[in-house]
Amino acid sequence: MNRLAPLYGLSPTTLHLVFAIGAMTALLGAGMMLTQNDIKKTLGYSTIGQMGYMIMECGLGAFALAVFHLIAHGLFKATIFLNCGHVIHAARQEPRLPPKDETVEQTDFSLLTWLTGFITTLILPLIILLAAHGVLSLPLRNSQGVVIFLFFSWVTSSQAILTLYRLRAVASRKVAALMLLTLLLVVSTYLLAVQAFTYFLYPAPGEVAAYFQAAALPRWLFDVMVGATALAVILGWVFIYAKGHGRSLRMPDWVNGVQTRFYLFFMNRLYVDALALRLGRGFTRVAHRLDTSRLFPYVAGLIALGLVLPAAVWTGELSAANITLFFVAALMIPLFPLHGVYVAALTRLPGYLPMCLAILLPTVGLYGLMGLLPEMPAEFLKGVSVLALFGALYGSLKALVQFRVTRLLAYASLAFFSILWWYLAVTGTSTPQAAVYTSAVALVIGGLFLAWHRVQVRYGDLDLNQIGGLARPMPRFAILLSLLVMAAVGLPPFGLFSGYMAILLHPSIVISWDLMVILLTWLAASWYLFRLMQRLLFGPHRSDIRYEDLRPTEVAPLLIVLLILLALGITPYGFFESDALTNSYRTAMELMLWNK
Amino acid sequence: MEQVETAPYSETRRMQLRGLILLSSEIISQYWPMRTFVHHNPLHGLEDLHFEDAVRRGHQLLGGKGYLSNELFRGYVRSGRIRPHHIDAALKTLVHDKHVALGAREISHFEVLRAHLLQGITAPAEETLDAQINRRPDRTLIKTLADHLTPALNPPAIRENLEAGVHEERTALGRRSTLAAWCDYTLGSQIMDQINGESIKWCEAFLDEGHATWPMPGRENGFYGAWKFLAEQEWSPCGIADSRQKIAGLPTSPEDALLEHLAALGIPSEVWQDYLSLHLAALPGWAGFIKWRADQSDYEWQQVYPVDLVQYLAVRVWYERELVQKVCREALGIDGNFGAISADMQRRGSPKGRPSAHSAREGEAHPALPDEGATRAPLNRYAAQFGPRRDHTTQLAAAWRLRTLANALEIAPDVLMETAPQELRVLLEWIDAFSESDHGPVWLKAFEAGYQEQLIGKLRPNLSNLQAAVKDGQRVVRPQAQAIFCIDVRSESFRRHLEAVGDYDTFGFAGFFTVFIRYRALGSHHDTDQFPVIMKAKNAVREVPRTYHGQLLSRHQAGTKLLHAGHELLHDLKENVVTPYVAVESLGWFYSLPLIGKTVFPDWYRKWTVRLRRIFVPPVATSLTVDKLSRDEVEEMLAAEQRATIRRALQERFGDRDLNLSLERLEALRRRALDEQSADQQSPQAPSRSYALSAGEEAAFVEELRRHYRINQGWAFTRMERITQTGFTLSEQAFTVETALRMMGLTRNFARLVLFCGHGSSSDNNPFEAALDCGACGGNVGKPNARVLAAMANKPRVREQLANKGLSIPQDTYFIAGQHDTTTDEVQLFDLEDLPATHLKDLLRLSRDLEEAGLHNSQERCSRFPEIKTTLTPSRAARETRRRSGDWSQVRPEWGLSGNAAFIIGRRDLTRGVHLEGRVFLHSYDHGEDPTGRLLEIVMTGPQVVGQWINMEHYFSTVDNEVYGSGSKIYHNVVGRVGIVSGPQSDLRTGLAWQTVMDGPRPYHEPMRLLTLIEAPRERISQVIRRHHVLQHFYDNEWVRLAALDPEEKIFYRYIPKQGWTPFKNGSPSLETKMFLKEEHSL
Repeated sequence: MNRLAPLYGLSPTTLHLVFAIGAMTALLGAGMMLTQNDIKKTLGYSTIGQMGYMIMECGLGAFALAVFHLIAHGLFKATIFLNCGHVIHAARQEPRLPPKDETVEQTDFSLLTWLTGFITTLILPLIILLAAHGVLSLPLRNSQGVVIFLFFSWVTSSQAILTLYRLRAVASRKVAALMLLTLLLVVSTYLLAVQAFTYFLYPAPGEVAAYFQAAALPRWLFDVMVGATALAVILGWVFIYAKGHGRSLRMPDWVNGVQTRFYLFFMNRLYVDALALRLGRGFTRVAHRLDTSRLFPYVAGLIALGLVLPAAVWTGELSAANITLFFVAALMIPLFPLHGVYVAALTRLPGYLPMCLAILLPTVGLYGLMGLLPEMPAEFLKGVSVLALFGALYGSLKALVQFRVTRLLAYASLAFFSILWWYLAVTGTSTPQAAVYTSAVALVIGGLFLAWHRVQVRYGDLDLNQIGGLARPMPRFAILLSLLVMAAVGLPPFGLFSGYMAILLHPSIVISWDLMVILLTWLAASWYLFRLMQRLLFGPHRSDIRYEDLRPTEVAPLLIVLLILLALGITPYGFFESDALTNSYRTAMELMLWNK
Repeated sequence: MEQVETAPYSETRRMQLRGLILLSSEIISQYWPMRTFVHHNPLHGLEDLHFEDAVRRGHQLLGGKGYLSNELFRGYVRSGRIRPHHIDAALKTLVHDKHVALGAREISHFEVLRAHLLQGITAPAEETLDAQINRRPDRTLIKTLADHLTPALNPPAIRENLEAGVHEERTALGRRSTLAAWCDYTLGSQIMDQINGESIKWCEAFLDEGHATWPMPGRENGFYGAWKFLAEQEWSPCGIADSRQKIAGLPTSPEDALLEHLAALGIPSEVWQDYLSLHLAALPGWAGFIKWRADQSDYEWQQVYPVDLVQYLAVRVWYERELVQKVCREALGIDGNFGAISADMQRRGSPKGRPSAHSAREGEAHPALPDEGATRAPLNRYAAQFGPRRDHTTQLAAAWRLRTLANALEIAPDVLMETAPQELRVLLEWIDAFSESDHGPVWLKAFEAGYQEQLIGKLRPNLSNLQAAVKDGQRVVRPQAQAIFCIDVRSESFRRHLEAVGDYDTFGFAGFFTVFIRYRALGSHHDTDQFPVIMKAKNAVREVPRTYHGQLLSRHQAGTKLLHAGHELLHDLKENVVTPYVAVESLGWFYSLPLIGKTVFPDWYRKWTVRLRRIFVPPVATSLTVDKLSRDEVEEMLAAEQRATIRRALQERFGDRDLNLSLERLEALRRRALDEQSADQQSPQAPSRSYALSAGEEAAFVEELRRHYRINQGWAFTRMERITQTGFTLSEQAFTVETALRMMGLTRNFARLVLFCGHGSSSDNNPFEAALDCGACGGNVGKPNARVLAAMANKPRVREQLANKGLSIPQDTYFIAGQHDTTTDEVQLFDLEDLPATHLKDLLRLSRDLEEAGLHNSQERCSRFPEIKTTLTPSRAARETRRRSGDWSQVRPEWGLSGNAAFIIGRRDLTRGVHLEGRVFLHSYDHGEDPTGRLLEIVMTGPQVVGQWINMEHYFSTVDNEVYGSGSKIYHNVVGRVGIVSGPQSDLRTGLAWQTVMDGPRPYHEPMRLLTLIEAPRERISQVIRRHHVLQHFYDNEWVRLAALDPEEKIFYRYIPKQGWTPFKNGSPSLETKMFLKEEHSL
């Protein structure tokens, strides 16, 4: 966000949105942090809150401050996180006791003590802060942001004094004065550091101020916010201060009720986990139901037919030879609803054949298509693209519910190649990008088939739920498989990633719902492929199977596949292309690749 | 929706239910909070069963393995750790005198079992069989052999198999699987996960002891009440419809609720106990902690927020009831109760879910949940595989096994083809009858026998020393000094090294030295229980500063207060909604100091923080309140203190006036403040001088004294109580010292210096740090106990009393206290201020020798750390151990008690000079001092029990670290300041960590049952056993192996369960075999 600060600075609305999101995250994160009962969740949610605060700072235009916070927080949280085991030591040194209901009835209400308390804990820090700000020449002076930061610092220092008061550590006035002085010192060094840091990051004069200007909220909203928060702080102070003095304020029942609700809300972590889990379960259940129902493939086929029927009219413009060629290609590069042959070839054939076919068929198919594409009528291609999108969804859905590894991989490649079809249909040409993508997918699928074949040879044709926990007995296999899966879900630096990038960044691709489907397919692929890996490598271990790791001769071909994928991924695009593309596009591509 | 039954249950039924839950909770053992890590036997509740039965039961309910894997044992055979003749001996109990003729050779039953044990003659899993056979070079042979076997093998028909499956599943329902587990298994639901998730959530929140800043509201209503209160307002995270109304309609008493749930689930009352056991065993950690909490009626958290297993189950079973109902309705269209499910099974006539749920893979009590939807397809395929394919597989598996057997026995494969199939079938039956899951007990016996033989062999040469000592009666030469260490296995090596560097006598004694105290350290606000958890406290002892530290003390106190304030401040700023952000922004950079310091320059950083701390909080010398004050003394003390307070208060309040601060005046005020009723009458009687205070002012002042300065009756009473509980009376002191000295056999020939040495540990960032401290002191350091005992034993009046009882301690004997840091091997000595000047030289010599012994001990210990490959010099070893103790990334600061294997009760002469590798608890005991056997009884029922707990904790943590241990430290996450869980949410992990007992994939701790060796007349030991059930359980159920050394005959005997004694023979393996044969008859 910091690198894009100039961009954000141009859009106040975006900044306001960022501010709102950040502030919400900070508050919710802190709320959830307070209700967690174990150290790591506490720290996790506290980190969420801190991240929210940084985003909020960005939303206020204080980009430099966010970076400052990032570093400080990194050091702080890393130390605490690494020292997690210390909690038991602390608990041994000072076990906590349950909070007692100390109802020490203190009848004397002296306005004076309250006033002194009010002044020392609320007003004085405010004055100090204002004074410190006045001394400095930060660009954030005279902006709204300063008020927000002042607010946070004010509450923090008040809380600090309140704590010291509660502990009766500030016994004498001298000590109290000393504390305030220290506070002044801390605040000014802190502000100085921030100032120095800001100038260090944004040396250009006026730049920072411009961000603050851009981030300014509407006047009335800002005033309301300031008023409301100040009121809340003062009320909260009264409550805490009274409690510290052994006086329990009677809370109306509805307040307690709201408090309990909030507690539940935060303890259940906003119900997000439960919701995600239920959604996931519901979705898989639906997917399974669809998969097992006999009607589904026919219905899907009919829908697809309905979708492409208008396009089919245009096949008349093609010669019979071209149509045949197209159909053959669609069999080799699986295109819904003609994928059956491809899937059958990969799942039914014995030995190394599926692996070889997984690599050979698509590449040959693409070669055949290359000449054909320019001759296709645009309307026909449109139909094909719709079909491809449908096929991508269909393939993902099927892959999601498979427990036979070969079928899972076959349907996964259907989804992958549907993306290719869509790309070919949309661009209407076969570019080097398509070739890179095709070979990457073919290699990935072939590699996975090969890896699975080695397992099959050892343990027979097992389902996913019959074998698992291979990470420990078969470490070499585990590493290779996980690398292959990484490649398959499209992570850099493997070829599939650059293939995706090349396809998605092609100049003729415009933002549309199609992209949504492509992204969904990609996400689904990472879902089922990661599940495949997780089950195979870390699933329940069976003690009645004799495990045996890969031998070097088995490792070699897999390694070669991975190396080629790597090479595909890191080769600059210029290497593949003729001169079809413009120079500027090429630079954009390379930049994109190397910056990832 | 069914109408909720509102009729309350009778009190008798509730009582019955509570009793039932008590019984069903036997399977889980209590778990102490981690602050005082108590080593415990995870199967403690089952000790009235035989060890092997208990292991089986644990396996059934908790899913834990009870023995190391056969592969590991076979590795021990290969490495020579297990000797062949021990295997033979251990197998003898199972062998029948039968033979099968294979060609020219007669194969005995024994040979087959032995080959099976050593080679594991088991065919690969059914699904993998074909693939595995195809990879073998002799596949054709196996296939022909399979055909050859066909006539002899007739597997049961499919129909029978199915019916048996259904029958088994029906009987298992309720007894071995809950309805929820059944649903998960057969319908692919995830109810158990959901129930566990919710149970953990509520347990974490309720049992939290001050971690969460915003604690669970309503906890004072108890676990069930708090859950009801909150869950009534919750959106059910597991999707139970109308959960809020349903919960609101539940009865308020947890017993009634549980009874209602059980009735709704339709569980027959005869299986309730098993059923509830299953529920408790689902989360043994949390349930174990609740079980502990429920027993601690004087535990602060329990008093305020009560919880017990009834409440826990009432919550848990509610979720099951609703979820099972929901899933059964959705998936099967039947009600989710026992009767309906059982009837449904009967109607379908085939076991659902994975084939033969309980028969094929009995190894899985908690089967991995199949993927959703993945359940149906395997069933179909399984059905298809039934029939010819299945028969074929059976034959192939049989052939595979025979081929392996032939290999193991070095029989040519053709011989198999020539033998009649029926004969071969006998071989297969023998193998089947001794399945791989039955190998564990045999291995364990062989493993233990090897260690026992080795130990006894090591001790034998010392038997002659024993004779000399007995004859002499009293040694003339006084040793340089005597040192008493804890029985802990870590003391063994230290004692050995100390004895090697000088003329020292050492003793082993439970590290709390029979000093039962609740101890409060200086500046601390809480007590620690310094005694084994199986006992109760008698006296309180506080650490107080020594008198001569005026200035330093106030600096110390101010420093402590400042540090405390700093910590609190940081905590308050971190745990808030608004403040953490600015606090982090302004303070975060300072954290780079510890982060970089601890990681890059750990030694340097530690040194400087200690130095800084010393500047801020200068250490002060302290002493302990050993003596008890009489009531009058206490009253006088309190009065003086209160008068001083009043004087100060007067000056603070009315400092500017002319005050009368006379003693009488203060006393009058004090009495008035204390005597709250007669306050009004007292004031006129006060002396008649004017005090510059009006009557009204004075009344207000008195009120303030009561309220603010705590000068009131209640407070005075509390203080009185506390002070009078502090310390020991003279006779108590004499009794404590006498018991301790007599029990350890130190009754004559006292040296000039006698050191009582407790122990503690120092490690950083280690949640298990208490596990490294002294188990005898309830997981605390042993320093206070040693100091108290030394102080008592030095008192002339105590010694006078002891002399009257025939225990005379020479004038020039002086006792000092020390503490051995088991991580760094440094020994710290205490209360040296009181040492007479005459003993200075002795002390110097002692501390020098202790240091040297420490260096050597570090060297020995370093050789056991896996990452140290070379032998270190003593000084480098010492640097290494110091570094480990302060390293925040060290998962293994020391090996702790790992490796423990034996418990020797006897004189040091028996073990002196023998290298026992830090694996033996040594308790000094002189049978000559104990004609009645009273002291032996204490040793056997006290320290030995603790030893068994420690041993069993290590045993089970090693054999199944996932179930009984606590898994890898890498994932540990401290929860609620009481324990650890793995990852973000899991059961409370109660055992030892992987890194504590394992060295990589291999066990470092050799899991074997404790061998107790007692040097005492056998009859005396038997008498003690007869008096105590716990000991009978130990020895007769084989939780502990018992051996005795007869002091007269100088012969080692072993105890045969329920039978008696039989001598250990030394010498050839054949004799040994005979010995085991005797054991066979006894079983």
